[in-house]
Amino acid sequence: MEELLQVEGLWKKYSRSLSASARYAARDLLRNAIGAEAGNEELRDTEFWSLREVNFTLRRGEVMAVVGYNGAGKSTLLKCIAGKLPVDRGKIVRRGKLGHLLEMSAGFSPSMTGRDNVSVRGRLIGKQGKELNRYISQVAEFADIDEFFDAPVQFYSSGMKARLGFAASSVMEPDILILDEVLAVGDLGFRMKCYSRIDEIRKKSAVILVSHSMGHISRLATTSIFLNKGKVVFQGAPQKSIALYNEAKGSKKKAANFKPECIRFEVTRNHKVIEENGVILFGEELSFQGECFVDVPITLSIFLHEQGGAVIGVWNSKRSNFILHPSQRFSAKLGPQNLSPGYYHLSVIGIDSQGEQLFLSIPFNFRVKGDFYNKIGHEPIAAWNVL
Amino acid sequence: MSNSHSVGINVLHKYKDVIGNGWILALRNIRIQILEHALGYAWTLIIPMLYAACYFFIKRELKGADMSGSEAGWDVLRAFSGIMIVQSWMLLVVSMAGMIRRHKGMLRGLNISTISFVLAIAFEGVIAIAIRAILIIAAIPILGLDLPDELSAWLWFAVCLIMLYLSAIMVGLLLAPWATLYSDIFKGISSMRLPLILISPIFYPAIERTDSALYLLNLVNPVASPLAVLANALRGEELSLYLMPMLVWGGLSVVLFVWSLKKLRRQVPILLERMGS
Repeated sequence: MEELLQVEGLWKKYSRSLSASARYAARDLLRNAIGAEAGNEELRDTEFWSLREVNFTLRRGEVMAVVGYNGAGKSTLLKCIAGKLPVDRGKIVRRGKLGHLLEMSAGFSPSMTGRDNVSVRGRLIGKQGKELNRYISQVAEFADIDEFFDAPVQFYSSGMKARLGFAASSVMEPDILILDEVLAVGDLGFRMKCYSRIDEIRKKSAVILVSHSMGHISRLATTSIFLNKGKVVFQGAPQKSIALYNEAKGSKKKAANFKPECIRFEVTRNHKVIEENGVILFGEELSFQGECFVDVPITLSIFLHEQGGAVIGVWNSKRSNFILHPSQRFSAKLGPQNLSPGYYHLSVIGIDSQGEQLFLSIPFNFRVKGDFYNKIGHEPIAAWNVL
Repeated sequence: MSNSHSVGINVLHKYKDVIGNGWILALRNIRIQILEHALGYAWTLIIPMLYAACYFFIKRELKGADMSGSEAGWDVLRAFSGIMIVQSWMLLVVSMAGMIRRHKGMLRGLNISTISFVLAIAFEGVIAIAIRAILIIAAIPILGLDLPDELSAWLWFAVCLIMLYLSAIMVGLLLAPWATLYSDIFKGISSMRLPLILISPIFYPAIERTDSALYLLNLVNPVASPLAVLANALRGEELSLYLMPMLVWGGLSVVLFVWSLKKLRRQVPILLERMGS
């Protein structure tokens, strides 16, 4: 596959002090004005290395996740690649057209309508006439904000702004696509649309993304780097980076061990497998079956989450005195799902006899259709009688 | 040969995009101004009219004389046009100086050349200066004065406005990187407004005595020489002593503007970094 991005020995520094930062920038500007090279490859007072010796290459069709904690240098790396920040050492070679979703709502004027803002954005990316009209209708359809599309952006909720921003920015065909935390926007339904859009783009491009959601990374990435204090600690399979992220997180606070590769499962309805993002009707019975790849006996817990991520129900195998032994398959009848219409997801954890969590699955997303009466997720059916 | 031809076409396309984007951004900025201000571009007229009316009133009260003569009319026209031009010059300088700060989101978030943002403000400046020119021309018969009948007078009128425009975008662009780092630049510009009005030939005719300190001061004032030449050109009088300083300022402005523009491409990433998120 064609190599589209090459990062060689990249170093980037920042200053912790506002006044020193302005002073250094003033010096750099003066150097630039007289045509001298930057010449500031060494750390000055109050400066620190935000990125240290980063090397990697990215080919067409690859999706690289940049994993790490806040302050690890992830966004700095993306901004350097996008050419928005100068690099202090090393070089970045880009081949082909660059697209980035860094500040999606950039350039949206609050006093202008969504349509007008999108029209300006479209013209700025070189669209005219029919092509521009098609772009505007594509964005309107994707953002799905109905009549608000013709209202001033200042009256939008933050979710609506994010929808419009993603829709306006993602209609492009770049060779290299840079995504910084863009999948954390909107509700679950919109996030699903974002996944599909990125899936379309990545088929023809090299994608580099930053996300704190291990689910997003696990779902999208084909390769990864794990950054810690600006240094690449690991480079390779996304699952390993996720494990490192969780281990490092665990050293600060005991937390979920992700390892989604330890479980494979499917959700069924009337013995038919439901596709990811599939639709079920209110009250339909669901079943769960799968297998785990661990060496010790475990109990399983299947969590039901509502749109915002909050858990609204759990099926714990301990309650049924069920223990799964290595190499055994399992099934679980979850019963009728009396859920109000909306988006939900299921996730599974495996716990060993010591109470230690061994894995957490990738979430399984689905939608419930039916009559809507109120916003409460779980709506059990009572047997009503006149006395 | 065909290779160099295609490279040439690519460069032309690139410049076409940069200029086209500049125009789109300019229209966007004008639209926002109209949407966000109830009186829109009427402010262009309100402020200088207010100044000219005050000037007319104070002068009449101080002199206790009849202000209906043509000399008084030229005085009022000079005050009206001078204030309007200085106001426009200052706005252009502030707008250009604040360009990086104002558009940092777009500079980070979109793949648009920095030059397009500069051109957007330059285009807005052309429109602003053109509006002022029309208002000045309209004010001449309103004040009971005769419009100049010589073509050369109109040409010098246009040249003066172009020189003022060039010096404004040059000063603004030179200040832009520093204004991004230090807000003091805006305070400085704002505090210079009144001194600039006072030392420029607005409320009094331009001093033409070469031994005068005010004359020397006005040689280094980019606004003074075009205003002096403009006043003489409109009255159909001999061209002012300030003609050469004005042309020197014009040439210098073009050179410094192009130089600043060339430097900007490498300066913007440094500035975006220092501005933080």
